[in-house]
Amino acid sequence: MISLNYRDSRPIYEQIKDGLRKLIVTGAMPPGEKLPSVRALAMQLSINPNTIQRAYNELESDGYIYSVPGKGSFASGNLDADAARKKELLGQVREMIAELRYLGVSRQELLALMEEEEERL
Amino acid sequence: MNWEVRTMQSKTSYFNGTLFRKNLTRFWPLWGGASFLGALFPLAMWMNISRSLHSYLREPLEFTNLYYNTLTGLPVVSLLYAILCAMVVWSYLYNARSVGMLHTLPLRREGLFLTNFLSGLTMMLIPYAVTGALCVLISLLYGSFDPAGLFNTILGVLGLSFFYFASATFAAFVTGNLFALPALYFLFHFLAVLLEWILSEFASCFLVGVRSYYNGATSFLSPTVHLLSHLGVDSTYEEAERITADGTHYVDSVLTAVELENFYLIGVYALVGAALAAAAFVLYRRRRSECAGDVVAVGWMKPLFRYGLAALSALLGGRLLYALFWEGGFQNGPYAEALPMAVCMTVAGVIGYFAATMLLAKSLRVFRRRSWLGAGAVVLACAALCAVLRFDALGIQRRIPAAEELRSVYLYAGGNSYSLQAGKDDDMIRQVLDLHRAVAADTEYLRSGADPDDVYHAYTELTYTLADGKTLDRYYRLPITEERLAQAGTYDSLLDQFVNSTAAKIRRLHLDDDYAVTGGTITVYDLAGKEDSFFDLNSREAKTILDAVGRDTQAGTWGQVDLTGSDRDDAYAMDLYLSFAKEGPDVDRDADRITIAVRPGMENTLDCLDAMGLVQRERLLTWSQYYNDEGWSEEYDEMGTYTETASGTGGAGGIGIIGGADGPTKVYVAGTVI
Amino acid sequence: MIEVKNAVKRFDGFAALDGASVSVPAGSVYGLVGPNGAGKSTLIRCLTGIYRQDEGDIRLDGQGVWENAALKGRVAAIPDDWYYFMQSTIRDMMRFYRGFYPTFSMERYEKLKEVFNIDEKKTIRRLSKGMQKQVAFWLALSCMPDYLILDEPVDGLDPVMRRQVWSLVMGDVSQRGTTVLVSSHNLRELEDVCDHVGIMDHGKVLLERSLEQLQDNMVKLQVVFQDGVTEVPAELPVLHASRVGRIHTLIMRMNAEEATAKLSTYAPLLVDAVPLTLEEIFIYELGGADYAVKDIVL
Repeated sequence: MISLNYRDSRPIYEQIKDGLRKLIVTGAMPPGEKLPSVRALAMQLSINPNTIQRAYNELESDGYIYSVPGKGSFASGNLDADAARKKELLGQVREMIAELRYLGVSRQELLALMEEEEERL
Repeated sequence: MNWEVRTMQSKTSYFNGTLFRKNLTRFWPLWGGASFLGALFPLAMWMNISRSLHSYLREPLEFTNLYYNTLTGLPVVSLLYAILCAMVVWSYLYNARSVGMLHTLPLRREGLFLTNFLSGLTMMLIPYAVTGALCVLISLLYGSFDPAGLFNTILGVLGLSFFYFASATFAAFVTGNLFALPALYFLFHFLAVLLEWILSEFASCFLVGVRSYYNGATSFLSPTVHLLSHLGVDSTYEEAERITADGTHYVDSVLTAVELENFYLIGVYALVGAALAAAAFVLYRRRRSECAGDVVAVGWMKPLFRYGLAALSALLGGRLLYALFWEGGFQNGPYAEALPMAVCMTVAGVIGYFAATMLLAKSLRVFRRRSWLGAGAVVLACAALCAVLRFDALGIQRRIPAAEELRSVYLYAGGNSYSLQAGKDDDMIRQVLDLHRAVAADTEYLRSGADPDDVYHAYTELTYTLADGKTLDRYYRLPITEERLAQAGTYDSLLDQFVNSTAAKIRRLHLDDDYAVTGGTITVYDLAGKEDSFFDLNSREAKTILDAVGRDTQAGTWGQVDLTGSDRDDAYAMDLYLSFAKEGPDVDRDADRITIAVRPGMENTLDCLDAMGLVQRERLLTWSQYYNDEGWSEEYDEMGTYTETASGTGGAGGIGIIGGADGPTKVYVAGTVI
Repeated sequence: MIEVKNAVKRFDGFAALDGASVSVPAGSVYGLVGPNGAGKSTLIRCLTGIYRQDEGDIRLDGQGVWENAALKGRVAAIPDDWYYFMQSTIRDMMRFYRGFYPTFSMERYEKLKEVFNIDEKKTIRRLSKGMQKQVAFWLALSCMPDYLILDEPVDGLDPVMRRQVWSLVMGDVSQRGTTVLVSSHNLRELEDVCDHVGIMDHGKVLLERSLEQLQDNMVKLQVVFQDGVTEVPAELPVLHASRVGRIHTLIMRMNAEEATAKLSTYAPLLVDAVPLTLEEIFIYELGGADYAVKDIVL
């Protein structure tokens, strides 16, 4: 479900956070589905439960998940991802576009790609 | 949940059953093997009784006698077995891993100490219990069960086991090294005796008149030695008349009482054991776990170990080196020379010092500036000891008691012993003291060992018993020369005067004291030893001969002692011994045996012997004639002294080896003990 | 809660612990990192009541450890050289521990038997070193301790076994709130499992931080300034700077957003935040590369 890459220089909690977020935004984990408990994930990944708790906390404050006391954490249905994340992602897209243009990809091609993705969603 | 779980949940902080069981199960081969060995004895005994070999063991008292006799030997068994038990039980202290494991456990040191101590004590007692139980079974089987004797024996075994295990435990907490433990243990147990011996050995090496001998004054500090010499069984046997089945009467000796002598000593040592166990626990409370592996685990004992080992090495090793390299080849005279001895002691002491330092540091690199300072101290101490002994700084050589402090004096001189009582023999005692003074004044002369080959030596032994019961022993090997004999005031002439005084001659024959002649022997050597004749003399015959010698003494024909030994070969070739005993119940203690040299001119004695048919006057040979017939080596004749070459042959065994009433001889120690 | 304050432990005058202070919050996993000879094992032996510190204070749950049997009953420790009795089987050792630790759980023991899958009737001496270590974990976890103190615990374990052992320990931490102190000479090994790290050298704890604190408080930026700017502006609070060609690498003690904002005033051609590894963080925390940190944490 989530795999950690020990060669990845990102801190582990970020890897977990990114991994879970990907599952949620791609719909692999539909809204309302229960996330694995901190303990289960700690044992499964052999990593510190506090680290996992931290990832959960950040996902929750970003709105990707919500927690029900005594029951656990669940994937959030409201994918109103926060502004900071949007800004960050748009920044990344901008960088990519700059690079693609530099490599000679035309504006039409990029717009076509955009259309295509739009269709697919 | 079983009971085991419940016991450990109750907070027993002083005893842990799990650890106790673990100890016993881990080390069962030790106590199992010991039990097996112990069980062999009662089993063998049972076989023997059943085959009527030891039928006396059918008596209860005989069983008690057996128990008690076993008990007197148990100090040695306990000494050896206790250290084995201690080594296994305390082994966890000597390895960093096991120290860590045991001290991580939720058990305080009190708990560890008590549990392990009890485990060790149990291991000690199991073999005794097995052996004892079998003995009790056998005694019950043969109706020879004696509860009182068994009870005492059990007390004794408990006391001994406790003491020895406690002493081993104490040693265990002094060290941090499994191999050092037994070494330290045996050192503790025998240090006093060892020191007493080596110090008296040193005193005798240097001090003129002091002889090396161990008198056990400090043996109470070496419990095994003390117990072996003091624990005893006092068995009383009485004669009883018995009748066998077929009606014959016979006399049997029956054991009527058995007592343990000095049984209380075990109790005293058990108390000492309690103190040692307490001390061991105190050491444990303060013990640092990181000392696992150290030879000495207690900080303040480290200098003690360092200098103690240096001192022991200097004394023992120094003496050995001296014996190897100097004594045989270079030493002049019978006494050790201070400078070579100091060198030997220094070498051994410094080696011991650095060995101790290496052991303490667990490293070979100890030759640092600070350790050289310590080595310097060892060198100074060795030199100081040699100087103190050589120049008698303690005044031991010069010590001569005043006449008033004396109760009695025992003198062995000129081949005879003299017992002198203060108040009765004051004249002779005064002479002896004058003689002793003359000897003490001449210690440098004696030390130089002048002309050992040519000069005859008079062995002189002195024992003063002082009014307070203490004794003072001196032992001299005095060279006697013609010139000094002629000089008034020398010990030579004083000794000559003493032994050749009429009073001394009479005392030699015990004519004026409470010794009575009890018998004797006479051996006459005849014609090359082919027809030697030997007779036992009863007390009446001996008395007759003694009276004849007494008459010759009055006539002046017997008793003159030539301290230079030059008249030795004039005597007839015979050994005439007379035995004496002090009148009174204590026959064993005060006995004396003298030899009488019979010379031409002793008419009374010769007539007497002839009349008794012991000799034929016309066939008597003097020693010189006898030797010439036998073709003795020229060496003997020239030297005028007895040498080893003559010892092995023929019937000449008597000559000169055993001395007697007739002058200086080789080492003969009279049977008389004061 | 484990608290060590200014602990000093001397061996023949040499201070193996020289005023070490450690604070482990309850329920956390604390990694004690340092080179060989830094004093980690000495500190751990003081914590488990083997050594008594010469100075300072060592407390678990506010109580002194030395000779405190009740407290030690709640602590399980696995030293780097785990001791077992020569002839003992795993089951024998289990009985031994059961006789000492009031919270010992047979249920747990049986469960772990399946996890480790080692025959409990085997003599421990005959097992491989790695298996012996597994047995040590098996027994220590069966004691259900509140405190788990581990000295170089995964040395000699293969990666699969490492994961398994850590998985069990992490399970205890999340479920029972076990407080774990684990030492290692390798920081990377502890990175995943610890939430707190202390760096130890020469008998002292140089610094201790929670990982959260660390990762949020330092950033590494790769920056290309506009033409003409060759030097990093002096007013920037830079911990460490290096340059390859036009690209400057800056380490700053702040989070990425703040740093980017600060740099934007210079309108650089490129600003790129690069994640820092834990090692790098420690290197800069300890004062930069001139301090021989590589030797300490690697």
